[in-house]
Amino acid sequence: MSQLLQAVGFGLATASIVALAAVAVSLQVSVTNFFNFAFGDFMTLGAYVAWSANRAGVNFVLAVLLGGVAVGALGMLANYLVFRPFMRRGVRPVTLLIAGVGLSFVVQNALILIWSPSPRRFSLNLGNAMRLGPFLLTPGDLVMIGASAALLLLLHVMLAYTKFGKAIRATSNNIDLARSCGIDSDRVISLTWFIAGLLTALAGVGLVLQESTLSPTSGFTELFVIFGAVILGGIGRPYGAMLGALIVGLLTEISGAYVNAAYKTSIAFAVVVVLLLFRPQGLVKARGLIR
Amino acid sequence: MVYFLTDALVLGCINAIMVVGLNLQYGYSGLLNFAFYIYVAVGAYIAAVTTMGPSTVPGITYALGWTLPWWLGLLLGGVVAAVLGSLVFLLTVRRLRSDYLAIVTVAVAFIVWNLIDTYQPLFDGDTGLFNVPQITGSANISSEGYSAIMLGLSAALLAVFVWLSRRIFRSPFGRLLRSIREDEEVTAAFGRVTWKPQIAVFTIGCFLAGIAGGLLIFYISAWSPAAFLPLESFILLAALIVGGSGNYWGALLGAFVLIEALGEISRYVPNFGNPANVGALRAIVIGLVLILMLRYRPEGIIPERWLKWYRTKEPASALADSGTPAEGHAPDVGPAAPDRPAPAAAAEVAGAVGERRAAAVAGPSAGNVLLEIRDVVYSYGGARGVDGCSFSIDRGTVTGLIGPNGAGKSTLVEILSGRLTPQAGEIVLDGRSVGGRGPAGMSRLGVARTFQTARVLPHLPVLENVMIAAQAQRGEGPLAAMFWQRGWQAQEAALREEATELLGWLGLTSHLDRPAGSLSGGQRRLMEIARALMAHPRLLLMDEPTAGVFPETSQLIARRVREIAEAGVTVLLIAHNMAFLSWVADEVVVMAEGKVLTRGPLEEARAHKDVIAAYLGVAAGESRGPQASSIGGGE
Amino acid sequence: MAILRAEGITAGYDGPPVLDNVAVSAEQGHTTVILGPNGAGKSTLAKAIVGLLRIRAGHVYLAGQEVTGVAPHKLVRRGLGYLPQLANVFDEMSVQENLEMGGYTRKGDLRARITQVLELFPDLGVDRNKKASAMSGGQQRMLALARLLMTEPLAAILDEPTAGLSPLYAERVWKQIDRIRGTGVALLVVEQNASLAMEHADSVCLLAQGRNVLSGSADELRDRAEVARILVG
Repeated sequence: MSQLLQAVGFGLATASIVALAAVAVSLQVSVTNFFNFAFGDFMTLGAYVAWSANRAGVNFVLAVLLGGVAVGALGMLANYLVFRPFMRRGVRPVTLLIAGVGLSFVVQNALILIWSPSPRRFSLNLGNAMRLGPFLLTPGDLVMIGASAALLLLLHVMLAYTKFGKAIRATSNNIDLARSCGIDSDRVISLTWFIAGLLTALAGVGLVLQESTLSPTSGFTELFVIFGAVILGGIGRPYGAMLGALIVGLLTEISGAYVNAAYKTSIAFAVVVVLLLFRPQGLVKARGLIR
Repeated sequence: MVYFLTDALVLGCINAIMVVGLNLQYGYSGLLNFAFYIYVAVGAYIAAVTTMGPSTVPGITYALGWTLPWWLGLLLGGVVAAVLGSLVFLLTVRRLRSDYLAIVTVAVAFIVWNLIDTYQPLFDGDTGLFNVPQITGSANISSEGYSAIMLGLSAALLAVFVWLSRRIFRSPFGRLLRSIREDEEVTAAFGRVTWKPQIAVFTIGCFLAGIAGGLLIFYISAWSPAAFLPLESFILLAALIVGGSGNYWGALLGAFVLIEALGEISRYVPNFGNPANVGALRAIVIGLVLILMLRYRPEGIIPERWLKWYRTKEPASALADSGTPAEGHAPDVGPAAPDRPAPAAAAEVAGAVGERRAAAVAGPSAGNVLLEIRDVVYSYGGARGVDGCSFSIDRGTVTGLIGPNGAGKSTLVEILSGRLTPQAGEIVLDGRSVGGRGPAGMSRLGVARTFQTARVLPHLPVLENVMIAAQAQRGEGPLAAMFWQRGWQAQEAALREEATELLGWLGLTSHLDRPAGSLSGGQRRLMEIARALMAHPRLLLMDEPTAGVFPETSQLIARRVREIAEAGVTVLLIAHNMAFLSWVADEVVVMAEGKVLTRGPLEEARAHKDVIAAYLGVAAGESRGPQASSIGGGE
Repeated sequence: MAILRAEGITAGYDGPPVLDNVAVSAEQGHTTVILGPNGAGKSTLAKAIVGLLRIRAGHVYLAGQEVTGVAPHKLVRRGLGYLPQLANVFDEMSVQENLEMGGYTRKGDLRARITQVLELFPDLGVDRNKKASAMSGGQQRMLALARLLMTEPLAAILDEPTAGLSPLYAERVWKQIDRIRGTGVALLVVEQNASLAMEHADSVCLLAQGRNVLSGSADELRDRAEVARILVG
């Protein structure tokens, strides 16, 4: 039983990372209507930038922010150079997917060129695991959960109460009507990519810290777990994605406690597969975006 | 040097077999399979474990010790991969849309890879297989010699597969696959079950993957999970897309140029920095090329339509060519078309075929009446589409269906074509009740339709667009396509001729070879008519056949519709253009609020006071009456 | 003076143009109704004027300035409002938020403006936080009109504002349109329900097969049998 609870504890930490990433994906998908297959590599980039900056002596928090800005900028660039021209031309959905795959090749291998494929150590030792009730968590886990929760709250506040946040929601709900209200939808989409990029980078850092290793494929392996969380929560619903992340995170860790840890990712993938086969609309009703 | 070349060629051929297989799945049929390389791996493993002798090394559990001959192992590898592919297809591809399918196939690929990599007892985990026997058995051959032998084998198999691929491409089966790829719904509307050809081609593609895997493992004699990372499938797909998906030359080009040539070139690039960098650079180049290709030349280097796989005959009658159809000019169709009587093809529509169909349906024929609609109801959530509609149509007549917006006309046509099932009431076609059959079922009963926005298969030539509609074609199965050309070649020629004649009759002779996407709106409507006729229908449903069409083309359509009716086809059409209706309709049925308001000759209907009121809409003052409360939905 | 003027408009989708040399105008505080049989191009004209469709030939003027080809979101800032036929509210947002989006480009105190607008639509003000998707069709239409008012347009184009509504709500919608007209906005209203529209119109512009067929003041045209004939086709 304690093993289960311990796993739940890890699960929460994992879930908070996945939640950040899933919300980022959900946000981007809600305004653009397709899954960016290069997403995992965006996460990895964020982690590498943060790691490099930190190694060069930059304060940790600042380094992470730097990573966020880098990925945010990359997202905007990708939107401008690759995705938006495709969407303007009205291509088949498959094309956007494959373009994302191409982008993934480029980003992932650029990482290899710049930082070499050897795994790096990236950890932040804030202390040993402590008992909190029935759970076993490290201070690092707590920081992650806390930071995640804070960011998600911030995002919620932005979406629900600020003018720009509402503009994002309006654009994702009905882009033509948004334009008829004078909203510059191209700018909104561009900035949404930036914000999603920020969250993506943070999730990437969190992910890498949890495993203490950083390699060019770190983010890519998590890609489908995150997509799974997004779909579970209902595509295009950032709030649903949080729920999806919680479920996926917990499931992964709990099953990992009983089965060989090397299979953890596979289990997450298997959950995604079963989901898509039997309930693609997610637990929360999605908005019927993707064909 | 020669050795390097041979080596590159062997790998090139093996990769080419993979890409040809992927082309069958993605290029021909539009099925996305990111797990393709797993089937290659399956083929490799099966070929290995069945041909290896019993293991002398402790802990190796995978060697079955059967020591089968290499060709049997190779074949088994292909077969197992194919069977696995069918299973996966039934479970996933049938159900999922494109990006879900992509996610699922990658996820499956990863799970299988993870399993093999981690679970030692299966295939020795990440250590992989060693000492796979060569195809030459224990004979002592030099590596150069073995390479040459493998080259011979791979090249021979590649040639066979390309030849089969070509056969499929040129067959009715290939046409069916292309049609499903372009627009599954339209294909179904002409009576086809779409998943059967798809599973067939998916299975064949997986078979090729398995064979390629077997060849690979016999060549390299070793195999490990590092060799089939999920990434490999992406590279194959990239190669296919860049080379040109949909045709086998593109597949070959992609395999040899993108994978092999690029791979070989990278061998000669001096190492800079980390040894992995050259490989990374190569991957970046592939990624960029892929994106640029998709952006600027999505059909690939060798596009599908460069292959002229059919030859169009000169039509028997001399129809004057219309020259360049230009915007703003009058007829975009041949001027000589007007007053010729319906050609043999259209006459076929009536007479023999029509009678054959009627007999086949075997219902108690109701004499003159072809179609009867009795109290049909269909509502969309709150709004009533069709609300107790009843009328009948006589054989060989042209009936116009008119009425204001929201009257339920389009809904009725959707029901008659099978796309919607009536929630109440009955549809009786030639004495037989036919509700709820679905588009394919209705098509087989002799109902054909044109769509409100003309739906063409844009990347396929106009001729093919029309040929797909012919019912009961031979050669639409994979085996017949590949091995029994004699059975369908004559039929192909006949279909081509019939389609050519129909298109000529509608003035589209100069457009036979062009992709249907290049036709103007009016030309597309004409093509749709030819396509519908190709199915030899008893009942032709047309939804606004003259919307967005030049007046002269409108006249042509009206003439043709009359001739079609004279040949015995019954026509029901929705139209708003009164001039067109006056030329074409024997009488009109006026619908409003989901019911029939009145019917009769057009002039009478237009002057009917209720009809006028329906078109003008209800003035506020009249809203008190009970009739008014059923208008609209919002409250 | 015509606040909104379109002349020589030729536009279409793929293929031959749907509209051929069409002209229409709307004056300050006037309602011009665009009528015509199916396929006449009424909706196409609306979309062309607001920039959702590319104009192949012709010009559009707003308050004397040429605005042909200006992007839709910029046109709104210049004072041209648009009420589309379908999907005309943000169904996932509340009444309050819909109105806020309507006032996106307006400076000044949004809350005061919202209160003002809600006074004209008392039903909506009852529960400002109600999600639009939970409202009936008629109420949604009212919300769409209120949202339009929030953009404080000089001129506005409404595409079939009474489509699918019961006669009761259709009449209510027209009353609101009359009120909007009363505030000085120049209105172009595309309509199918001709008799109801003509009761509230100042001018009528009749289209058929993509061309102008008849134009004039509503008083003149109200009883002419010609109008009925053209509409039936």
